[in-house]
Amino acid sequence: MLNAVWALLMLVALGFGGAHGTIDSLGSGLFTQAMQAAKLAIDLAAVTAFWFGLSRIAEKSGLLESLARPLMPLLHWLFRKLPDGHPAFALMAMNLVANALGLGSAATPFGLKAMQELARGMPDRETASDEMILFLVLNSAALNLLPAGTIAMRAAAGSLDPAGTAVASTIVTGVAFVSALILHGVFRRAARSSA
Amino acid sequence: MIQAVGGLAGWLVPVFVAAVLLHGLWRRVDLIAEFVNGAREGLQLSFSLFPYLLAIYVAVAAFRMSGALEMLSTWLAPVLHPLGVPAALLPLLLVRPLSGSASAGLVMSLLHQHGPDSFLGHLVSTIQGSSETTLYVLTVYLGSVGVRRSRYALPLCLSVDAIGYATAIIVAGWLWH
Repeated sequence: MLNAVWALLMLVALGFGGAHGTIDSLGSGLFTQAMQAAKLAIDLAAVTAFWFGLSRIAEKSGLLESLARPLMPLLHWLFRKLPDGHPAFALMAMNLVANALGLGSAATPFGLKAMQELARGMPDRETASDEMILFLVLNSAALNLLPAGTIAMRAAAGSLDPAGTAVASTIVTGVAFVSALILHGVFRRAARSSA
Repeated sequence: MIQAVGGLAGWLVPVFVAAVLLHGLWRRVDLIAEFVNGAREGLQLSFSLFPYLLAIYVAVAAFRMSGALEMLSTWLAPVLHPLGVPAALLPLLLVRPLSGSASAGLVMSLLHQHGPDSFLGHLVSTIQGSSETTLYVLTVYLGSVGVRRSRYALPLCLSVDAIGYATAIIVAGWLWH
């Protein structure tokens, strides 16, 4: 899919350039743009590295764990079918908190471990359970309080207010989070009645 | 109100960094050692992602420089304009669920071309900051436990993404237009 998108962009650009007499500027432009991408990548790498470093400290100090604790009642209510004290709860909470704080590097390992716990004892190991799908959709709605990656990119592009879209992102992910819960109910019911 | 929100957001990062450092200090974490370890990992990730960023950045730049994007925008304007969707946003909406590095490359080139503090810059940042690489998350998370049949996971997650994009366009129009 991505392959097709990329090929389409490049070939349409080159073909269009040939047909409309912009091919000369394209020829030299490709390389200046490549150099530009490298300059941006270095700025971006610096900020990403900083955020990964910070993320490691928050994980080692147990800060993520204490932030995840208030989420537990909500998760117990959402995942009613899981027994109390199921190991997936703490892992899912850590995953969601790390995501919310833009600490994506810390989030993924917790998410993968949570999936393993959810998969344990499933009758059919090759089919996704409702709980797994609920966790995935909460993850992809990605409640976000501090979009660190975006702040990094805005800073690298020379923004005067790199964190200026953080509040808007939080509102949007809040709406997405609630829609995820509602739609999960709708899709689950539809899947059950068609099965 | 927008200024108050903006002022608050400026405090967000410094306060968060200070909180992480103080908590680490209190729990006797070897701050510099852990920071360096984490940062090294981040650097390695950035370098391994660079080829993707390069590929998409150059392709989008070529598409723009050839004049093809302008023509596409003109064609699609009658459909997109009533919905409030800037045509320049279209490639991002298509690529965002597919690839994190590709969408990061797109966001960078849009921020650079239109300016990070323009309306489009704000809108693009809001979308990037409020969405996930859905297809990647589904593939990696389900693949890691050997699940083959994802049932309604993909249509559900893509519907939630679409709601997110629409909300971002509304919120950005409300805050920055």
